[in-house]
Amino acid sequence: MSSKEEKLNEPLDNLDDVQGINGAAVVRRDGLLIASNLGQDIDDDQVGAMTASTVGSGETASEALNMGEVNQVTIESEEGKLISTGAGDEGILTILAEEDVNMGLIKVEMGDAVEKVKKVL
Amino acid sequence: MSKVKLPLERLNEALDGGVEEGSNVLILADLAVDKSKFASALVNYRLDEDDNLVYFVNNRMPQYINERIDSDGAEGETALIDGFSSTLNKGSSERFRIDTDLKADRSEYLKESKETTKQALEELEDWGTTYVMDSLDTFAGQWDEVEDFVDEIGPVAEDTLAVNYYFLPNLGFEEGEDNDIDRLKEIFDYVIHLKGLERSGIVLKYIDIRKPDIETKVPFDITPEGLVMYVPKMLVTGPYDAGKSTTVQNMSEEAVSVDRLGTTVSLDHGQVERNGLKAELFGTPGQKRFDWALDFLGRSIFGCFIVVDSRDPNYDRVRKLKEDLEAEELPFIILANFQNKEDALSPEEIEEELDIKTVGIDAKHDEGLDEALQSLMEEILSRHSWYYT
Repeated sequence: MSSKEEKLNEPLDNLDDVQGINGAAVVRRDGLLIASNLGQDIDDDQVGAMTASTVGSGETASEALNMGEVNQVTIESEEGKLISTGAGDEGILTILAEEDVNMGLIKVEMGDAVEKVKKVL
Repeated sequence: MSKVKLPLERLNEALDGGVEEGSNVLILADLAVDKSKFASALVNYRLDEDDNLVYFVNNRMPQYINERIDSDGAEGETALIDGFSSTLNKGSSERFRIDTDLKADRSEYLKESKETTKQALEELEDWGTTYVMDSLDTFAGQWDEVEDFVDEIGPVAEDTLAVNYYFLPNLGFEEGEDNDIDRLKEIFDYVIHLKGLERSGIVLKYIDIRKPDIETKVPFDITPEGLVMYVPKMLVTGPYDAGKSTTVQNMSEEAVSVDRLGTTVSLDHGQVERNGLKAELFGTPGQKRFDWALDFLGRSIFGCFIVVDSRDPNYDRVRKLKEDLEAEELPFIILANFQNKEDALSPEEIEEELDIKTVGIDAKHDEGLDEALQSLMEEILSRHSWYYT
């Protein structure tokens, strides 16, 4: 295990401990997975590609519509949420959460984690 | 008899150069197609070719037509026949007009319409004329009346080198017990059907030549520049790093790419408008981890470009794509990119290996892209599967 991945495990584990969060990952903007804590029944690579794709689409749309920087991309589904936020120029932090998760708490926890991830990347 | 060209090259090819001088053309338009917009595109094209124009309008005020006709700089003369104002008991300032009110005396209205049309054609006889009758819906179903009208104008048109275009909205005429379409085929020399298929909110328009009996279907759209061939969706796919995004961008007038760190992560989208062809391009990501994007981008496409790097075409991946596209019965061609590089395989070598039509391109420098578009368009048109997929 590379030291970068090791260093990323700490913020990812912290996120995983938050109630309502089922897993977290750090993904490169081109869709490659850097580190994850997602559980066994989830395909890590797929999460990487989906995250890059949704965030990329969101950012492109935001830019095209003159809405400035994207803070967060959220997919709200019947049985869960995929929440992603940029972490530096090359990284994205993404989490999988329950559909009734406390969004205020998520925002704070993800904000803390993003700072740590940025330092490592 | 010499031929008169229509505003879409593909139609002229199918009709051996166009429609004959002095002929009667029925343009049957589905309700989903704006027939007056088509009529103005036709008329403006013919005016550019220095025709005279006689435009009979009986379903709206003549100024609506005048607004759409661009006769500035046209060599020919333009005359409107106002067959509408009288039905509202209004006066008309047009040079030619029908005074009888259709509702008051139908046969007199018809008689006056024929006389006025002949008079207008004869007065402009020094030139070939485009005559437009917009539209026949007043006489729909009364095919004997229509036949009388066409037969009486026909000889005058022949003398004055005119082509007569009659517009008729398709109010549900089909082959069948009443044989409306068969009857119309008897009356007219050409029957051109403007079809509009509605598919999940999008109207797909194509021209279907019903008479003569030639298998020709041409997808079209009407832009401010006139009539163009139009393909709603072409896919650009292929292995990683083959130059798909560059192809989309350089083929298009305008393009958006969702890419990060030099890799397409969602899609490329571009709008092509060149050489009388309009199309929307959707580019897929090339890396395996984005294969799911191919599934949703690949829905309801009309044709596909597979872009390969000619220095390393990645035959295995292309063969897999070929299999998928063939299963869907979709037209596709290979674009052999990086032809400007020394170690590139030639399009012929790649074509031989894959047995797929291959066009050499240099996407970055816009080399071969015209030919690429034309080639795929040929594939799409030669296989009629596109209109029901």
